[in-house]
Amino acid sequence: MNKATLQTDGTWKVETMTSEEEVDWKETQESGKVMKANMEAAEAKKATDKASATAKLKALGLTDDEIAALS
Amino acid sequence: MATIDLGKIKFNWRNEYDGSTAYVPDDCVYYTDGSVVSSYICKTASTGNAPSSGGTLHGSWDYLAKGQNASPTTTQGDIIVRGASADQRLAIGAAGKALMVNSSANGLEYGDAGAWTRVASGNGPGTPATEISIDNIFSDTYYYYKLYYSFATSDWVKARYIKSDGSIESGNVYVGSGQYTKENSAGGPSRVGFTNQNYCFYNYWNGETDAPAICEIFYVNPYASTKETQDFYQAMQVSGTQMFHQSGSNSNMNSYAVRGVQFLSANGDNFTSTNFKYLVLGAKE
Repeated sequence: MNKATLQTDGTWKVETMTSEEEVDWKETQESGKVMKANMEAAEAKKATDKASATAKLKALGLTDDEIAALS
Repeated sequence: MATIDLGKIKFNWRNEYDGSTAYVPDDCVYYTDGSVVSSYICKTASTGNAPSSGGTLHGSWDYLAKGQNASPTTTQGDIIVRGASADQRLAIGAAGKALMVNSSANGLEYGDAGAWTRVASGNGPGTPATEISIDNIFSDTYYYYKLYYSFATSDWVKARYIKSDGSIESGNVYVGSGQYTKENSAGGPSRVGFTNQNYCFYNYWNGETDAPAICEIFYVNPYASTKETQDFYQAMQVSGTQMFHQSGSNSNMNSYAVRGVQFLSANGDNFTSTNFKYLVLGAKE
């Protein structure tokens, strides 16, 4: 894997990552995957909770427009 | 009746002016006043009176033909400006500089005109890389900075700050908070945040080859050694009819000077000269 550093003259210095840098990059990759998974899980839970809440509100007699006005 | 040949009537040409010669009306000479060569005609008898001095005619003389100063320019790109008392050369400025009025408002110079000045710009590296450091972009020269980039690939971007000694901050020092909206995609609007993470991020959905992720980041005094570096960003990506928009902030929780930013592709796509473009602007306080 390569890393590139911008030089003061505008060119790029490209080097092969050290083994430590590759390990670090892979750790950030895994960490990013976890973060994105958590975001998606939170979104899914929010959607589920919203559907459940909507159903309960409808059962109480609220119209769709009234429920939409609450959000 | 006598015939006069008018072709024989002519100036009494005396060649170059000589201070020891006695001139009489209608004598004509040429004379170099400073660097200006002109021809003169004598109006009244005169000896030892140069036809002009410092551009001012002597009373005994008048111009026949007045010369001009030689151009002060010497090099391609030079321009002529009026100095305190005469025209003078202004050499061409450095690449990207603009012609502007000087601080004394009495002359012209080349410098950084306008509020925002380009600090750096270009494409990604010719040799593909999964990490790129936009290094040496922050300094004491400017107080405010904007960094724009576009990344045309199916990946998103994490980031780390580069310290003034060139080392990259990879400790658990980053805190961030943001929010995002989506169109034609499930989920959102929602928030995202992190604390004690060893990277921050700017755009966290993938771009596309034909629809690059676009991001704008704003920094205030990142090179200050006594302040935590902070940034504010907004970014967008589009995939088919799906639209994503994020805005947020990042900060490291330590105070030191930061001179650049490292970008890490989140999933391993490379930054290349064709899929990555950047622009850094600076403005003074």
